[in-house]
Amino acid sequence: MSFSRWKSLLALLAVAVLFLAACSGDEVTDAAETVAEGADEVVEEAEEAMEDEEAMEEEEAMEEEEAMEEEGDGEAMADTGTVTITGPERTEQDVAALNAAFAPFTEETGIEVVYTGSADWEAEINVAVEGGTAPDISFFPQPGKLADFARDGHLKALPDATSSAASANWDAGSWAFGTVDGGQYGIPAKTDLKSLVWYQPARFEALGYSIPETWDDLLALTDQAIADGNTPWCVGIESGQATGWPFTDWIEDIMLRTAGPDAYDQWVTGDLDFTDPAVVGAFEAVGELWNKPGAVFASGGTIAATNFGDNGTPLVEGDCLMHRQASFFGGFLPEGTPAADGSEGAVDVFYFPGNGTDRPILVAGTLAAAFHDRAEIWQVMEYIGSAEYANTRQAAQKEALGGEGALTGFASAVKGLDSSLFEPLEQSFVEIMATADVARFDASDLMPADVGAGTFWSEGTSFVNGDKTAQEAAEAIEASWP
Amino acid sequence: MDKIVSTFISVILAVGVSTAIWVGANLIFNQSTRDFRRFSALAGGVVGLLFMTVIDGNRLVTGIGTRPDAFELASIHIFLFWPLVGAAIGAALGVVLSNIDDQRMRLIVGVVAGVGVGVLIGFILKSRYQLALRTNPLIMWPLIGAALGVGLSALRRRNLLKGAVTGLFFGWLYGTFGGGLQGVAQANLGETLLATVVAGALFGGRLGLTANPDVVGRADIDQKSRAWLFVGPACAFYTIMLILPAVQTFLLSLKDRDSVEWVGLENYQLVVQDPDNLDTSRFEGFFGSAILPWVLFFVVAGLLIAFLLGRETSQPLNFGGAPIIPLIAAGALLSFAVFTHLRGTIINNLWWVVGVTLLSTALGLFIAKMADGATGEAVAKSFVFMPMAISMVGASIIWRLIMYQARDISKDQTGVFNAAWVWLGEVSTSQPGQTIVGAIFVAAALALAYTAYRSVADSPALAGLYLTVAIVPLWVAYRSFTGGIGGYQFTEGGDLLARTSNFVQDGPYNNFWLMFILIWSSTGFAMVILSAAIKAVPEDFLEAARIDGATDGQIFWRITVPQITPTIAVVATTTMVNVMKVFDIVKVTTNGQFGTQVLANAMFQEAFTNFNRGLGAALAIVLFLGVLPVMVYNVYNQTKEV
Repeated sequence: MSFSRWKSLLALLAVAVLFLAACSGDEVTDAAETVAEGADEVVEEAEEAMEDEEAMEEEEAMEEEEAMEEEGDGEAMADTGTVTITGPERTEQDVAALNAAFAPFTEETGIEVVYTGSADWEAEINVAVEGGTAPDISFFPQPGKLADFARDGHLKALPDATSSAASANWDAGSWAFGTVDGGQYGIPAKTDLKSLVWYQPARFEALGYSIPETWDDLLALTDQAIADGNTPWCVGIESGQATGWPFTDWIEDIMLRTAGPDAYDQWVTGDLDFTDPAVVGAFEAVGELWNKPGAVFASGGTIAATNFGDNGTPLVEGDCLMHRQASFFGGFLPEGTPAADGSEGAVDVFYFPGNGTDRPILVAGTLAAAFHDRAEIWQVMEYIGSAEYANTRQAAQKEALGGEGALTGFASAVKGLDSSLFEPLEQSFVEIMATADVARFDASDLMPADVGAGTFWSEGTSFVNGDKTAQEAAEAIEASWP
Repeated sequence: MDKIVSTFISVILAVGVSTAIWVGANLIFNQSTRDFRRFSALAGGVVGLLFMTVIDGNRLVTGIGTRPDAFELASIHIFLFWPLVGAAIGAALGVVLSNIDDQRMRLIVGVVAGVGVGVLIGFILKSRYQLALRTNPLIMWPLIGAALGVGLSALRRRNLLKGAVTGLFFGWLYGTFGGGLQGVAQANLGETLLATVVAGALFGGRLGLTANPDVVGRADIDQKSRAWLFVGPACAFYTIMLILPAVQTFLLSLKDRDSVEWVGLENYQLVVQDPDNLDTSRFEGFFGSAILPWVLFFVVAGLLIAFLLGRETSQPLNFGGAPIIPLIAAGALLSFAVFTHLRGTIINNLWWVVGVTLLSTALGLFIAKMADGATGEAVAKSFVFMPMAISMVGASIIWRLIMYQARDISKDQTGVFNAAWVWLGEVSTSQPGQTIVGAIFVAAALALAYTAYRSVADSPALAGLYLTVAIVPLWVAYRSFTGGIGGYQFTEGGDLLARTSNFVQDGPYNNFWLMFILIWSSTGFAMVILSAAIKAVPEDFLEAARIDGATDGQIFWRITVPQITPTIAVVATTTMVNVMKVFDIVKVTTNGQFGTQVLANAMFQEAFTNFNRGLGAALAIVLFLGVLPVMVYNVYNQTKEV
């Protein structure tokens, strides 16, 4: 073989090595992450299914153990002292805050925690679980998915010690989101309050508007604003692959107010059809409000083309008066926007009203659940369910955003939060969550993925875009229910 | 860095080990012609080693010590013991058999050795893998195996007895260990021993039935083994990576969403019946489509030009050359008219295939021809080729955010297309903009008409083509004078408002705007290949044509194009296969919403998001069947050329 051939062989080898090294990298960095639009912009770089070496090693260790015919109880396996966590949160800011939140825990216990966020978490967790490379813990934004995995036996129920220690930090309602068929699998890790309308108090005052107390007031205010030549609402439901979810939030909030919590629960489980007049009525109510001439400022041209994150600037600049969005929307306001401090241009929130007497709230968030049974995993799980975790994460996230006055978008319903870490506005979220009569989890996160992360979004978008009527969209969603 | 070094070492190890295995296998087979005894010993040793490595490595047998969690050099004997025993037994048997030529003796030795091995394995097999035998499979499977063996031997005109024994052996193995009755309460050592001993005896007997090959036989072994040594690795790779997954996918597509129950063709029915996949309900609108008059116009123009060209060459109609351009335009527009009135995932996929393949190949050919021999050819071609270097995901984001983006009509537009469109709307609805825009298009039409007038004496067909093309700017000018073109609208009060276009969200043409991203990036590929083909057309052909008085157009259509037809076919089919499985563009821009779903994305969504494995697999198979004919054609073409 001549010299140049050797060189090309070497080059080939080097390329192969780099390729393999890249594939098995510990930190999965998403190359296409530099997206101009909002955090939920979902961009998928053909990222391989999670290379979870720890889990694989453990898998092998388990096989070997089996082979040695020791009726193993799961304690004797390779204890690397590392716990892997995956989740959908993956912006630089969120990942940094998560890592910071685990830092004191690692210092104290010596247990290494490795977090990997993924843009395509939903698909990747399926692949990882199916392929036997599940992470130790995953954050679930959808309790429905968590329940599926729990029923299939993939998730491990919390040991009693962990369960009782963590449950002391939560009210029964929040804690119940992690309960599946009587067993406790999930621990709440983050809570978003969804029933909020963002507005600028100073502008309301200048225009002489008052905060609507009922749904009828809200409609009246909308008409009033249009008549005065102001655009009342900012709406945008575009969110890349998840386009349509802000629409489903509106529907859920209205369902909770018009049909009531019991009907809401039936709707979530599929006992109440999408074609039920209550649901179709909610579709029509939203459609009527959004399609009123002059009612909506859509910064992307049309509602379906406006990214949900692009509503912050118009709201602050006065292109619209109100925007209904969850508590995390604080993270999408232009940098330096004052929050609820009484100053000119400050933003505040009011409760998304209904006509009934009870004040139901719609919440969402993430739950942590474990795929493996090891002592250190339960230690991590217990820590995630503590106020210390939420406080550390809030502090880190705030620090990253410039400290005092910054809205982090993070919130938690855990007991014992250090309120000094939260802005007055953020404290009001916690306040609303604590005083709500009824709390329900985001329905689309509880429904089967075919609907909740599929047709509810896409058919809803078709309805908003005017391609389908409410009835047609509802029928299509109902037909897709597995 | 550590990662790179350790990976480097593993790669070198892997390459080294596979090379060693391959070279070693060759060396062993070398011995078959030189020293058959040595060959038998080596081959027997390797078979024994591999067999014991497999069953020991899968922890089927009791080891001679506690196996550590991770490999350590100190306990290497635990890992090596059984494989080495296997190697020794195999080698010994090989040597013994190669020394015995008497058929009866061989049979006895083989059976005895097989029984010995059977006893050994029966004893060292872990208790959890012990068997409880069942009568029915024990009779049925060996019989089926024997029948199959005899049948195959008969077909291959080989010894029937040998075939029968081979079949019996495999049938027995399947009837005992294949039944899945290991580990049940009644499993016991005795029945396990029976199973292993009979299996061993059958295998040994089959070995004993063979005779030691003579010189011709040895040469035969040598020759056939080489073929397998070369093809084997590739075959194994394809089987594991391609064939088995394909079969598995097909089987999954016949099961329900959790792969538990068999549901027959239900998933395929779902694929075809779902209106989201195939919606023909709006097809009536096709006949009222505003595109149809244009299709008609281009078809008539094409026929007319073909007639004119036919007069030049004394044929009734001649479609070679000028008529092709309006006919391609008619075809593209017709496909648009059809596909915008038939909706659904499958239709979208077809539209992608027709649209992208047609346009990127035609554009590639056009650019290749125009650039050929022009000044700055290399630079121009580099620019067209450059988009190929951008990943599809990147390209999709660029196009969506920079080109297609729209803003609220009260704001300045930031997307390039919308900004230009709205600007055009503003200019063409006010003076003097309207006059200027109209005048420009009138001028363009006039220029084309003049070119037609100049060439009418030479070739009426070419003149016809220019006139046909001139209609387009003329129509635009007409629209401009009668109200303006571009993105604008009037309020009731008569104020001019911007009217943006949501390229990505507004169906059904959003499909085309997504396709445009792929056309943009794949035209470069078509151009490079076609340009090379054009340059490879022998110069003397062109010269001969020139001497005969052919025009440039005639040379291109009559000489160059027929010469490069195979290349055009290759470009078109390659593009087609790429387009068929389009995924990233749709995933990134719309994720299949707004009526832009395609098969690959639907498959991903069903299989990995909704976790409906049956339906996902069915979609994958549909996609596979769609690609298959094109692939077959491509492969057939390539082999034909060689």
